[in-house]
Amino acid sequence: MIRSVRRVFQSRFRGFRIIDLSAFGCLAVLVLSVYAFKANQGGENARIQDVDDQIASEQRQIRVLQAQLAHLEEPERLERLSVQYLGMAPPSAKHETSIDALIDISRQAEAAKSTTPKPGAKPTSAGGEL
Amino acid sequence: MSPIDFNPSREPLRLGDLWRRLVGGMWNIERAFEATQSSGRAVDDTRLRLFFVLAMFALAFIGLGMRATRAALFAHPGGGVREAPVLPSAEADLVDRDGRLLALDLTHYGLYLDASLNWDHDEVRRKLLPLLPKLSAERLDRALNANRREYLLGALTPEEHTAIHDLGLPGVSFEEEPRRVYPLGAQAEHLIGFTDSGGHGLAGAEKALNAQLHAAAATGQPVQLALDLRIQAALQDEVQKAAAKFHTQSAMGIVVNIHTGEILAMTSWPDFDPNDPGQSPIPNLTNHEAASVYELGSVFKLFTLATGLDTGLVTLDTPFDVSTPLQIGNGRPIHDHEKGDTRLALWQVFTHSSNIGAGKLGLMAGADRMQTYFRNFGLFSAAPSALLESARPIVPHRFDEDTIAHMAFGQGISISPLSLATAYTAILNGGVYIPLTLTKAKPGERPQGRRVISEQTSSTMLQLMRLNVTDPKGSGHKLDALGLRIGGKTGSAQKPDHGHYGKDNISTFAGVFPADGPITADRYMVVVTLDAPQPLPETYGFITAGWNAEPTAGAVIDRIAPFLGVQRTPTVAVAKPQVAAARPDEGAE
Repeated sequence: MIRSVRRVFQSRFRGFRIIDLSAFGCLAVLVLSVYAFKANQGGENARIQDVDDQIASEQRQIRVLQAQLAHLEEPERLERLSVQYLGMAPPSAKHETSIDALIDISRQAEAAKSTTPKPGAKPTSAGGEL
Repeated sequence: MSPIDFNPSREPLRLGDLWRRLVGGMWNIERAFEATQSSGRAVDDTRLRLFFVLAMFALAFIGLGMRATRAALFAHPGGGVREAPVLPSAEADLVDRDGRLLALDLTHYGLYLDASLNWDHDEVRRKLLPLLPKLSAERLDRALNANRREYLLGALTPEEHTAIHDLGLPGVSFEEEPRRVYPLGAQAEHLIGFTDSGGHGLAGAEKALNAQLHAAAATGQPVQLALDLRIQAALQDEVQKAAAKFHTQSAMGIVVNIHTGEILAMTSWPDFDPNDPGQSPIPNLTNHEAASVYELGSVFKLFTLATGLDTGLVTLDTPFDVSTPLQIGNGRPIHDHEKGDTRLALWQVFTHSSNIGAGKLGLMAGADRMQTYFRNFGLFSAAPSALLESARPIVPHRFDEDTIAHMAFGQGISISPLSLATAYTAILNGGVYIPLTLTKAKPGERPQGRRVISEQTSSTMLQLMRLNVTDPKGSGHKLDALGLRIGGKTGSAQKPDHGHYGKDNISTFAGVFPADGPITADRYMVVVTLDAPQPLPETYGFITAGWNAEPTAGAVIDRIAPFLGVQRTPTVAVAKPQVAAARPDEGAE
C-alpha cells in the first residue's frame, strides 16, 4: 500500500511530478470555472437588478396613474362635467322606482300606447263628437 | 455498532468527555511515533510526521475549495438584491368605504445642483428656469456660485423629474422624497386632513389615524374610512351651494349611520386644497363641524323632551301654558315665535318649537336631572370622536333656574355640530350613546355603547321627529314631499356679538331618515349648520333654519337616499305617537 502511494508521488512526466501537474491542473480548472460562474452570476444579478428597477419604476407609474384615476373619477367632478357639457342633472324623485315596479310602468305604457288613436283613423262613436 | 449504542438510558456526550477523548487520541498518536522511533525507524517517523502535516493542510484546502465552489455555484441568484425598506415617514393609502383612493404617498424628487461639475452656467439658467416656475433666479445663482452640491427645489413631480433629466445638464441630480398626495383636492379635505413633509398627520383622519397609517404602510394594506365619496360629493355640493346662496360666514354638514356611528360624509366650508394647505388662510383650514362651537338653538329641545319623557315627569299630552313670555327673576324673558299658541301639549311644544314650553319643561326637570341627562348625551364634553379637532363645549358656570330654562331650548350652551350629531345619534338609535367613528365598521357590527335613555323613549323621540315633518305646523314640514319618511328638527339661534345676541343666526337642521319602521332598522342622520345665513327675497326676509338649513338638508337627503338604499314610498299621514293628539286648548298645566 505504502509502496503504491509512494509510486504515485514519485512518478514524473518530463521532470515534473505527476501529482504536482495533476494538482496544478485541478487548481487551474477550479479557478477558471469559478471565474466563469461568478462572471455569469454577476451578469444575472445585473439583469435581475435591471428588472427590479423596472418593476419599481412601473409601480411608481401605476401609483401616479391610480392618483390620476382617483382625481378623474371624483364624483363631484363627474357631476360638474356632466352638467356642464351634457346637460345632465340628478334624477328627480319622479324618475326613481323599484325594479319590481318597472313591469307595472311598462304595462301602463303599453296600455296607453294601445289606446292612443292612430292619426287619420275614423273616429268612433265613443271617441268622436256627436 | 454495539447494542449499547441504542441504549436510551445512555447519557449524552459532554464537552469534557469530548476533550478528554481528543487529548487521549493525540497521546496515542504520539506514543505510536515514539514506539516507531524506539524501534530504530527514525526516517519513517519523520516521513510519517511530514505526511500527517501535509494531509492536514490538504484537507483544509479541500474544505475551503469546496466551500468556495459552493458559494460561487449555488449562491441565491437574487441574494444581492434587497427590497427598499419602508421609510419611517411612509404612510398607507387612505381609501373610502368602497376602496376609492383618498390619499397616497407618491415618489417626488428633490433637485440638486453641483456647480463644480458644470461648465456652462448660462445653459443651466436658460433651460432650468422656464421648466421650474417655483425656482427663483436668485436661488439658482446662489447654487451656481457655490462650490458644493446645493439643494435647489423639492417635491418635483415625476413629469418635472423626467423633463429636467432629459435636459442632460451636468451636475444636476435628484433624490427621491416621498410626498403625501390627495388626488381629490378640496373634497372631504377636512375629514381626510393632511400631513407635514415628514409624514406626520396634522389634521383630520391623517392625524387621528397617524399610528395606524404608519403601521399599515409596512404591510402595504390601505386604511379604510367609513366615508362614502358619493355621499360626500352630494353633501359637499349642497352645503357649498347653500353657503354661496345665503352668503354664510361658514357652513358645515355631516351624514352618519346612527346604529354604527360611522361618519359617511363630513364637510366644512370654506374649504382648502390639502395638497398645499399653506396657501389657504387659517379659517379655511378649520373643520367647523368639529372644531367650532355654537349655540345651536331649538335642536336642543329634543334633549329636553327626552329628559322629561325618560324620567317620567311628563307624557306627550302634558299641556303647557305658552300664552305669556317666561320670565325668571331678572333674566331675559323667553318668547315664542308668534304662532298664536296659548296652550300646547308636549308633542306640540316640539313641533311648534315653543321656547316657553321647553323652558318650563326644563324647570320641571330641575337642574340635577337636566345636568345628568345633558352630561350623558355628551353635551358637556368634547365629542368622543377620533378627530382630535373635536372641540370642548362652552358650558354654563352655574345652573340656576334661568340658565336651565334657556339651556332647555339651546341658549347659553355652545357645542360643536359634531357633538350635536353624536347626541342625536344616541337619542334616535335606541338610546345608546356611541362615539362617531371615522373608520369603516365590519358588516353587521354594531358597537357597544352606554345606554342614556330607554328604547321606548328613543322610539317616541323618533316618532316626534317624524311628526315634526308631517305636521303642517311642524317646523320641518317642508321636507315631507320627498317620500323618504324624514324626521327632523330645526334650530335657529341668535349669534352672540360683543356680549349680546346680534342679528345673525346659526341655522341648523338635524334630519333622520327613514323615520318609520322598527327602532333597529337601518337609519341615517344628516345635520346641516349654516353660520350667519343672509335673508333673500325668496325667503321673504327670514333667516331661520326652515328657510335655509332645512331645504339644504332636504336636498342632501334627496340625493343620497339612493346610495343608501332608502326607497321612496308614498307619504302616509303620521299620527301622534302612542296617544291621541291633544288639542291645544285641552288639558291644564
